[in-house]
Amino acid sequence: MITLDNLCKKFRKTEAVNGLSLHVPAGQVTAFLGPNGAGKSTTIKCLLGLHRPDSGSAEVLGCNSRRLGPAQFQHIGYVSENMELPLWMSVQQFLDYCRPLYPQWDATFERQMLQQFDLPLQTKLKDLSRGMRMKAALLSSLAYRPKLVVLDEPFSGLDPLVRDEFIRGLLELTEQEGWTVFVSSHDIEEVQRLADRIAIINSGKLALDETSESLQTRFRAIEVILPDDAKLPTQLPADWLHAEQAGRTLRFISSRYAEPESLAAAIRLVFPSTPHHEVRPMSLREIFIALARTYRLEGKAQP
Amino acid sequence: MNYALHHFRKEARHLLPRWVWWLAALGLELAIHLEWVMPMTYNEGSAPHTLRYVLSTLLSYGAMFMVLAGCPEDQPARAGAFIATRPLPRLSYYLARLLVIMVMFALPMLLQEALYLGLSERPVGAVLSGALWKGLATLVNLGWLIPMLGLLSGWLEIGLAVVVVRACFYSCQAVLPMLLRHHELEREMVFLSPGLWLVFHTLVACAVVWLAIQHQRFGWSLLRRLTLGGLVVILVYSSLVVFLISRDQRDASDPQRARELAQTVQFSVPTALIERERRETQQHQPGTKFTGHIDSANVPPDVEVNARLLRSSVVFDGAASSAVALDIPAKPRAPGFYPQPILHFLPKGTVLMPRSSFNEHEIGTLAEQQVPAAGKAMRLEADFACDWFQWSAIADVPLQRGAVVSTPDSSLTVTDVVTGTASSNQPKPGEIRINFRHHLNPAGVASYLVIYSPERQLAWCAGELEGYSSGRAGGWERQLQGWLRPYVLAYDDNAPAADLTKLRLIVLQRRYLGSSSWAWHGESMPITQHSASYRGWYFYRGGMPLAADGVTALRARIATLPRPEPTASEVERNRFILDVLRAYHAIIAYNDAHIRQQIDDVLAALRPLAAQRIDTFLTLPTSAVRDLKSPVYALAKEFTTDAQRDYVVQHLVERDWLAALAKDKGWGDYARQTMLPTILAQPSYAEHLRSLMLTWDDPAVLRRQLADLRYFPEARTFEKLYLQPELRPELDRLAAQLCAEVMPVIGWEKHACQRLEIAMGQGNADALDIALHMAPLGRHDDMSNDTTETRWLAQGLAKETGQHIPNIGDRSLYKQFRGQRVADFQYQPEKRGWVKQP
Repeated sequence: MITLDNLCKKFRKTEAVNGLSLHVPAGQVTAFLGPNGAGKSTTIKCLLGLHRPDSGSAEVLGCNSRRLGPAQFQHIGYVSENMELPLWMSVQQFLDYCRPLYPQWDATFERQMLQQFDLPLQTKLKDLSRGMRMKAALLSSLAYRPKLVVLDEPFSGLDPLVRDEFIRGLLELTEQEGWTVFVSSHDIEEVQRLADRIAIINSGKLALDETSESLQTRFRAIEVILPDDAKLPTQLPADWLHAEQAGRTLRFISSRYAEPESLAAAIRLVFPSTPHHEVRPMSLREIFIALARTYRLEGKAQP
Repeated sequence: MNYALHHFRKEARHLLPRWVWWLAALGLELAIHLEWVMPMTYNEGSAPHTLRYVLSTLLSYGAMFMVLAGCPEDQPARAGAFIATRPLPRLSYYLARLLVIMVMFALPMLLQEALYLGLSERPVGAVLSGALWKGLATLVNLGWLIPMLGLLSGWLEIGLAVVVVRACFYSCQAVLPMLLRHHELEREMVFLSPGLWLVFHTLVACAVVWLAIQHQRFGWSLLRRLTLGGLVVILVYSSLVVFLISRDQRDASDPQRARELAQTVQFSVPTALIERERRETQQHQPGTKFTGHIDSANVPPDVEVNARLLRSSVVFDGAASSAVALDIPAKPRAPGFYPQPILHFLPKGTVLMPRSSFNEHEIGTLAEQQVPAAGKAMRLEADFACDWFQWSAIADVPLQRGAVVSTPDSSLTVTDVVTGTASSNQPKPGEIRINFRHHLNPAGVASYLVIYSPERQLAWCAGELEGYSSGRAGGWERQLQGWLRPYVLAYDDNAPAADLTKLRLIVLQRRYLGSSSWAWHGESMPITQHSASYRGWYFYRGGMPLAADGVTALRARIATLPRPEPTASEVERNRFILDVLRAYHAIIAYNDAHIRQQIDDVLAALRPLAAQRIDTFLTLPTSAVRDLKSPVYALAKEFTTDAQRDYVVQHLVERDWLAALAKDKGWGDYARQTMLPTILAQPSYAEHLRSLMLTWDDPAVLRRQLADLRYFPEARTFEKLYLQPELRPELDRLAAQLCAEVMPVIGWEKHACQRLEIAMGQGNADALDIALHMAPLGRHDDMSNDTTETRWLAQGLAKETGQHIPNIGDRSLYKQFRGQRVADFQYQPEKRGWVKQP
């Protein structure tokens, strides 16, 4: 659905996207994560043809992003936090305007979503709350059942209740329709319920790209109770992230967890007389925070 | 197209609230133009005029604003535009915007024009063409903004673009005249021609479309977009200006006739009439400016030809050393004076009263540093464009209220003819005010009004009228105009002169036929007199605003000038002399007592210096000696001694006032002995030198003066020469020629009065007739520049008719001729004058 190949985009001296390669498979929800300023929005704008890449290529629905036209946009639904909307129109007028642009517009689906989102038809968009405005934008981008849904920070600025409603609605629709969704966010918590796949971008480069299942399998929070005389060696294994010692307790995150035996062996190798350790699974949010801290502190490309 | 219509509906819905206001303003403008509201009045203040202007500006800029604004979320140059990720083809978007212009702006404009023209009772053809033109003009005027939308995003960028475009225009207007050597390049010349105006906008629109496409493809920076946009404007504007200049036949109604006329008419610039004026040239360099009189022979009487100088060069020893561009009007203009064809439509002998008179052409400039060694000859060469105009009379009706003159191009109604206090608050004697309602197409044929008094055989041109127009910049225009003129019905002492009911209104039209070119190669002229360094030595008359009367102002000025001490250097003394004289010339006194007092004050200030350094005074140019009552002349006469004789005699050619001094000092014969060959080699003579030469009775000089009378007719010289029997046949021929050339137009030609006097002396009754109804005019408003000459005419007429010759300032000088007719006089050849019949 989306293939980015060594994509580069520079604004004056700032390299917003620097050699990004990524493949978004069909039928999955891919969360495109990264801290603020990582290059998420620029990447999305490049792949939708809103920015012209300096080098590399972006392919969407089999078409080079530079050549995207009405034929492709009939199958792409795009909602962005910074999207320009005809605020002077009422919801009804807005939908009336969008409807003829899409031959495959599904009026029944539109009504269904209107009900689901509880949108007031006669109210002007400028008079709607931000959340309701985003819902209207989402409705106008989904009612024609696009093959690809691209969401750029759609939850930003929404209060928790609205965000929850919004995510639930999107989740239901995605499950029903089997869409390919590419959603960017700077907070994994917003998308962890949606995402089949996680791609993390840092400083314009791809830092991670794997399924959320695999991510949750290989990341564990470890707590080791050390003997009284145990000393922390200067060099720890590279896959032990954010090792912190508090009294006799050493806490770290293993990024290559496979099975309990191999972990126990690895701990024994560092602390031969260690009597006890505990292993805890991690949420995607904890994993993302750990990775983000790692990138920020060490500037690593890959953990 | 469906998508375009679909998006058009969105744009229209968005603009609707503002557009309704715009449409209402358009309706109001129509109502104002049709005078349904705020009808024009002759006494309206500036407020209605300003409102019309503001309304027109508001409509124009309002339309531009709405076109540029559109739906803000869809601005195509913005990356976040709503339509950027929607399946709306770009072409459909731009077509929709074009539809907005066509339906919401061009169509209403077209309908407004059609209604205006239709309700103004214009023919169907004029309504259709006018309305279509208006619609097309609106479409093109606003259309080029559409591609701008793809090039610029946001009002900041648009504002910057406007600044850049303006800057480019101003740059073009500053640089093009220098590059093209066109010093009076009209700023809006491209926009004055409707066709070129259309071409300009279309070319700019095409260029902006290309830029917008490139910007969409490559994402150009703002700097690059602005730079390229500016270049487009410069290139297109410059190209059109060059095209316009190279094409001299624009708007010509009959180029073939113009070409035929050019083949039959002969032009010449008599060398004797070439005048030199030392002054700063156009390039602000000191130099000599040459002016000449362009003679044209075989011009049909109803045809006017104006020669415009295109370029000129000064040739030394066969090689052009300079090519100087001068004032070149880029297109045929309304006449700055009232030309001969107007007389063609008036009864023979009618005196025409214009407001101004210019019949001299600038024909070359010589920068001071270009003058080679003295004694060499120089020649002027110049290229002229000759603009041909056909005049025709379209009406000759009694001047009375309700008189109507209608043609396909105009409709004129005299709404009022009033006299006395009804014409103005403080009416002058014989004042008359005529109010017109004039409906016309100013872009078509120009109309000129002439008021004719058969009783007085006088005619007044009313070409430039004061009034108001309905504010339309083109097309059919409604004008209210008033013409106020004193001394028509009475003389300046309120004595009746003409009957109002006998006045007539003559309407003339002037049509531009086309232009032709003419290359002029002047004769060789000596240049010794051009080589003197005269920088800063020209004394301009007037020009200083006065807070008091002329005497007080001059005294105050002289009091501020530091008087040189006895030990002062020559430079300081010279500076004082020049400063006093500059003040004297700049501060004008308006009555005889004040004039005399000013002279006394200047004499008092300068006498001590003149007593010490009369040499310095003798170097002053003729402009410093206005006449022989001038303080400079008085001082020179008082203090010049035989020690200065040689200097005076040697310089009397280049400083004419020295010729008068030489004559007064009795050095005339000495001047003849030493300067005769030099004097005879001069192309022409000024007044005092001619007078001095007359005292010599030298056959060669007399012959030369006879030749000079051709271009410098002077009755006194003529009569003096007529005393020589051998010269009489030639003088008779010359007199006949001079009489034939008399054009009775006040201010037309400065020797007209002299020609009349010569003709009267020869017994020409027509000349006497003209003089008899010209002389009573006296110090008429129209003759402010020619008062002196008319006084001389009155004195000459009195002399020729054997009547009392009062002093120049005496009002009876003019009064005595009132009511006199040719039939009252009889010519007596032996006396070479006329006597009043008993």
